[in-house]
Amino acid sequence: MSEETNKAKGQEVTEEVVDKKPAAPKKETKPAAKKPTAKAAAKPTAKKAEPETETKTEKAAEAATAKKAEEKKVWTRQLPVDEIQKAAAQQQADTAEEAPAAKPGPAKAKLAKPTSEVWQVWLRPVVVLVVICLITSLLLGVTNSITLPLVTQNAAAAEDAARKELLPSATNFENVTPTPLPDNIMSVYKADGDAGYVVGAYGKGYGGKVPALVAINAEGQIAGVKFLENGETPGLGQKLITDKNFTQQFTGRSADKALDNSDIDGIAAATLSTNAALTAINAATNYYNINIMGGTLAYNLPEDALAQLMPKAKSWQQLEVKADKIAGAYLGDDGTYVLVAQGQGEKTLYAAVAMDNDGTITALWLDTSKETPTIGLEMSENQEYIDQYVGQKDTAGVQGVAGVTHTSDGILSAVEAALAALPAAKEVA
Amino acid sequence: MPDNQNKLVVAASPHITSRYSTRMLMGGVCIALLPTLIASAFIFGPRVLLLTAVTVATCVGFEWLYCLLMKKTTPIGDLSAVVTGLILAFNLPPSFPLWMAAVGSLISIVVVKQLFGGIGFNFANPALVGRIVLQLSFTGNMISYSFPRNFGGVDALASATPLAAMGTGQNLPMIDMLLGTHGGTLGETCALTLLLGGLFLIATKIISPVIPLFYLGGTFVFKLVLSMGSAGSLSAAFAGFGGFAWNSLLYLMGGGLLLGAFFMATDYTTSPYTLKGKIVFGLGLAIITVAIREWSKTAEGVSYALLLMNLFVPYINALCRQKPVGVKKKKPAKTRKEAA
Amino acid sequence: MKGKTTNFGVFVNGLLKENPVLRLVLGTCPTLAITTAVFNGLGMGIAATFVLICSNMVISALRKLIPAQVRLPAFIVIIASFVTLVHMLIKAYVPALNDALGVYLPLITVNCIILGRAEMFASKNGVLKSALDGLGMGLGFTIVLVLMSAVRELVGAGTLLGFQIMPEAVSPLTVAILPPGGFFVFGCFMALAIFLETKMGNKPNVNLQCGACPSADNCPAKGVGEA
Repeated sequence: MSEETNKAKGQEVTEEVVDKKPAAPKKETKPAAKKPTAKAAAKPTAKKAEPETETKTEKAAEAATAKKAEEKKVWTRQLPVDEIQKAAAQQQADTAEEAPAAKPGPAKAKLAKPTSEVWQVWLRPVVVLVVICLITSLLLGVTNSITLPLVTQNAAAAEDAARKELLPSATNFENVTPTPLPDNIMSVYKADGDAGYVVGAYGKGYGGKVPALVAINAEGQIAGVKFLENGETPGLGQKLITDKNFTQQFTGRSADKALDNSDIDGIAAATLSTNAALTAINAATNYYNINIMGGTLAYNLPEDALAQLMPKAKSWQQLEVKADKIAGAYLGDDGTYVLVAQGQGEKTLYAAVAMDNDGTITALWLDTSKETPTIGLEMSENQEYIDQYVGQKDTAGVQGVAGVTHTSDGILSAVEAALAALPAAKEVA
Repeated sequence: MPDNQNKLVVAASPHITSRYSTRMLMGGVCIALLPTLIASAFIFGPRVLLLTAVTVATCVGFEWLYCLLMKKTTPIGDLSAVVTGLILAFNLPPSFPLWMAAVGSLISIVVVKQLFGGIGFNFANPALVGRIVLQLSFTGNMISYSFPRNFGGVDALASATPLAAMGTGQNLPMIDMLLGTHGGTLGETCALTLLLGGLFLIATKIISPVIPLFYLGGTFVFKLVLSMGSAGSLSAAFAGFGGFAWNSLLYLMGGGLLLGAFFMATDYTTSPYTLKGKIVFGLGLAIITVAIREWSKTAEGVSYALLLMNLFVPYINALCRQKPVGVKKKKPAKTRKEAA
Repeated sequence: MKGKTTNFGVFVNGLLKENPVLRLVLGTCPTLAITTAVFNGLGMGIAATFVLICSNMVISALRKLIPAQVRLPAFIVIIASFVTLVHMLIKAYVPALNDALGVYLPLITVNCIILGRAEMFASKNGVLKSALDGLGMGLGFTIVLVLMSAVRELVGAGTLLGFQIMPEAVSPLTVAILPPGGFFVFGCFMALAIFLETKMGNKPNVNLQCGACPSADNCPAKGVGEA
């Protein structure tokens, strides 16, 4: 009985092998382990079997299909043998047709593949993408050229509307923005009929510029302040734009004094933004005072500072010098000029520069009392830094102090302003 | 249907029942809250009673209405809505408009509790979320604490609440803190009655003392460590130990900490059920409360700490599983393979 | 399933059955951020609809030309160019809307609805059907935006389109225009959409994926929608 079943099993296996032949050309690589079992199964009834079993592809096919046959053994056990034989014969006929057809096929495909593969896989995607990008760029360029004038027009109209909102009594504004632009100033507009001025200024905040429009009316008071779009933190610094309480506290204040943190209610938890806002407003009022009203910044230099700056002089006289950023000027009887200039560090600072007649700096005295402690505050005592200026005619060789950028920059611009104002001082003297 | 409920009980094991029912537990909580209510009425005036009545009535009303509309059996008999109403009222200042309190009740009961499946399925303490929503929506009304009527007479708060005062270095006297004669919401000021209520709950085994212990203890310790740490030098830290400890004690009584620790953090649904879990929960609450109070601009340390920890409870439960008797801990996979 | 293949069916599909926001849950980011005011919601919806229709049509027209490997970059370039076009036009002709939408207008480029429909529908169907799908989805998006922002603006600010509707004495429930309120209103609308679908007879397939949730044992909704 076992022999019978064996024979039957063997038969079925080989029949299955025949069955599965059409799949042969595709499956070239199959586990070698299965080969011996296939061969062993094929041997007992090999007489019936095919001359084709010798060819490589069929051997592999055998292995592949034998594997499948092993898996399918469970089901084929029940099938009657003659049916399987019929099916096998059918398949044989089919494969005989297919086999010759299959052979030249792969060869053809191999030849044709290289160029189309390169095109399909590498070139075509690139070409398509480039074409799409070119077309869209063209389209966008055209639209931009059409809409850009409108956009700038809208922006200008919005600005004008903002200015009118601040100075309602004005009907028209004349652009009197000076060139070159002074520090922190964006624009200056004069309202007709002497109704006032609207100065656009900015301060450096947490996320960039904090621009503001400051309207000063004919009486020299701040008529209104409007903060423009900025990059501050939403909910904190951004509140500058929307918080009416904050902006309204400036209305009515006199524009002749620079404002300090203690004069106003800042925005909670937005110190840097508030400082930037103050810088902007102070820059605007400053510009108004000096350049429009022709006023001066007044800074009282202490006596001992003067003595320090002009050690050889026994007396000195005060000069009235009207120049950008100059807050005071003195002439010592030894021919030394002392010019006090205002600069913007973290807060307002002052630099008193002592120069001789031909513009060489002989001494420098700094008031950095409003700067941040441990950062900018100590700059006035930093002898090493101060000594860099002595003996120079310009600030080209001065190196700032690491980590004290704002204060260093402020001092630098103040000293430069002092140097620039020397000719004006000489005239007045 | 409800009539058949208690006749024949066919259920899976365990078959041991306790004599506690939800109604009894909730009733106990109500009793624990009563002294605070009476003290608050005494301190702030009769409006307290009106406000509390409105919140309780609306809580119960909304729950009944919701279950009626959704064709569920009415659960108001288990008094949980009453407790929610009481705790919500305790979180409001005495001058709070009544209709806003009703909105708070709607949110607590319908949104947080019923929409998520009713009692036992809420993801956070209903009264807590109600308070937070009211805080976000009607900020002005929520922080207009009225000063006690008998002991100051000023209507709107002229001086700060205890925590705000502590922030600037002035401490209210201990007696004021204990008796609650200072500004704040109506249920959080009287530390004495809150402590009494909490002890009553612990004594009657309605709540486990672990969470309040670790919450309050943790807050005390963290605040002490922080103030010692900011003393400047080691010697100064230890020299001022007595003062710091006293400050920490006052710190415990400020804000809604006692109310939160005894009555809100211990809510069964939204707190872990294992001992380890409860410890983690209490300590987590302490850390977050101190962090928010010290380093953030908001005044809602306890509320947000509770909300955050409530959200973590499923994870705490999963991680702090207690080992059943007889179960050996799983060995790591490596050794298993070797063994096999 | 039958309705899906006719043109009208394709159009109606995007309104409720496969509403992009409520059923497909695409484009939730702008939905939550923009729906604080009806004007914003309407503007965003119309802009997104326009971009959706145009990009769907172009992508559908080019679907046979774009190779599979670069389909996503190609789609993004096409969508981005339409969005930039719309942005430029709005900046020029309706600056108020530009200020209101702010950064969310250029963000339409990465709105999942547009990229999603390009991938799911336009790249596999004809131009007319894609256009109708774009129209349907866009309208569905706009309707949801308008409804949600109506609710949020009314409850959270007392106004509608800027006009004060609620009496001044009634303080608005500010939490509705804050993110928590937004999420809550969103959830309610999703529930409403599923309710309407069920009422209309198409039982929606809701898969809650309870296996991953740590609260699964405590949750009364566990197992809902699992087959």
